[in-house]
Amino acid sequence: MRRPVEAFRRAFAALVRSPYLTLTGVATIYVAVLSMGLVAAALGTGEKLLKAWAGEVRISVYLAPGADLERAGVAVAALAPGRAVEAIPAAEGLRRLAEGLGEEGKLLDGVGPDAIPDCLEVAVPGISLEEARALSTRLREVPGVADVDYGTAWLERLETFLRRARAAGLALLLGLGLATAVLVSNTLRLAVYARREEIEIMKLVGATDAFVAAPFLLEGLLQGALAGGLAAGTLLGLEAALLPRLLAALGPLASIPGGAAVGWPLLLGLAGGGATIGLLASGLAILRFLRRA
Amino acid sequence: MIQLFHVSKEYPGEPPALSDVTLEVGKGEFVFLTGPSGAGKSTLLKLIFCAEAPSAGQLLLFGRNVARVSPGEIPWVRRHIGVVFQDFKLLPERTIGENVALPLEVRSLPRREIRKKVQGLLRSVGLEHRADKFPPSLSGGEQQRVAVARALAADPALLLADEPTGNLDGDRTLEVMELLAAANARGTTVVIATHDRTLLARYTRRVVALERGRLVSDGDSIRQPGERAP
Repeated sequence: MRRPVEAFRRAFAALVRSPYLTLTGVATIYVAVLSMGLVAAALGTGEKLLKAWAGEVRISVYLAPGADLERAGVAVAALAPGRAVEAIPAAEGLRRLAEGLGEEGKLLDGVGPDAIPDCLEVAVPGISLEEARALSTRLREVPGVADVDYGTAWLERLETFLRRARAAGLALLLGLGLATAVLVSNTLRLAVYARREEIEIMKLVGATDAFVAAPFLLEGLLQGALAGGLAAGTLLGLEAALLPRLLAALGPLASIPGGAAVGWPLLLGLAGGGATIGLLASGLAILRFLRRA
Repeated sequence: MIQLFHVSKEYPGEPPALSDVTLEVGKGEFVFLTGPSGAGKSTLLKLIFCAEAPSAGQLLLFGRNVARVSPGEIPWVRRHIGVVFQDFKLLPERTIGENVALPLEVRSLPRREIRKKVQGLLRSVGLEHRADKFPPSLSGGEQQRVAVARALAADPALLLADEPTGNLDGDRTLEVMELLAAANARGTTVVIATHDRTLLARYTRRVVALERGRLVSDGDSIRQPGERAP
């Protein structure tokens, strides 16, 4: 029990004794972890938005002139079991359109119901884009159907963009992870090098490699945890400052399920990741040094 | 305690630092290792201290062949050896007390025991009132006394000193030598590397002379008339 406590005491003492090196280590890990956190949060937010928007999808089935709305409604309901199907005659569709246009709805005065087709609206909350696509294809086969629109052409583009962004983000995260490992390891190697005399004297008086390495490992762990915690805090702060503006800019389209772009798993991941990076990097640095000592 | 059989040490591209040295130092002895700069004194101490391995020959330490000591065992061998250097090798950002405590911390002794022992050691070198000072605030002689206290902290069986008085003036040299002699009187084997002939003249002890890596003489030093024994 005494050894771990002693190692912690020595680690704390070393952190306090070399504030500049400590700050350099924390800052390096902080920047690295925050960069990774930002990429992860941006990707996560995009995914959540996409899911939320896809969840609002309503599929509009437009009928050809003269088609039987009631019969088509039955056929559509059979193809989309469990989904609410609403029949919207042309006149009702026109009224809703005028209502949706507000003041400018007056422009439609004098436009007859023949201007737009009868329509069936299928509410498909929670459906994925792939499912919506498949259902639309099936609905096109219903007799009397002229066109099917699930109003998500832009969602498809967004999905494509996110798919590419996800791949790029993963590559970026991997690259960042590698760069982080090298950067942090080199920074902590500097810290080890700055204390080479202490290590030499420790070994001179009979210290084992484990005795010498333990406080360095703990220092790395503490620096990493601190940096990870700070990065998590910064990300929370950025979310609080930027997300409301982003949502306001996106208007009624924007609503993120659960309300948080930066969730607890990500925050804990950052703190834990920072600690892990600090531990591994300091381990690498001290072991390299001891092997040569 | 220390046995060398035809020990040589060579570094690439350089003449042999040690060449065919055969030597035995018994328990409780006080030995001066002397010779001009580059004679191989420090190299010999490094071999004894397991900082380097011989290129040829055998070195037995406490009856163990150091060639068979694994890297993981070296710290345990070193715990029986105290070392004093010309440049003191104290940690400047640690207090005197903390520096002396290092060998005891390495052994994971309880803090109370360490504190008590450090007080006693600093008292024995006349520096108990400076325990909380940092090495740079001490004179060279005081720093070397701290280094001796640290080397003796864990009651080593063997004390190696590499030019321990090289940076000290006459009076400070005597102070440090007396500390080493006192340790020897308590049973510690002491090996001192020095090129200071006045020390050899002052103390009647065994003197092993090296020259260009070869052992050239091994015998008692001759005290100058009028010199006092330690």
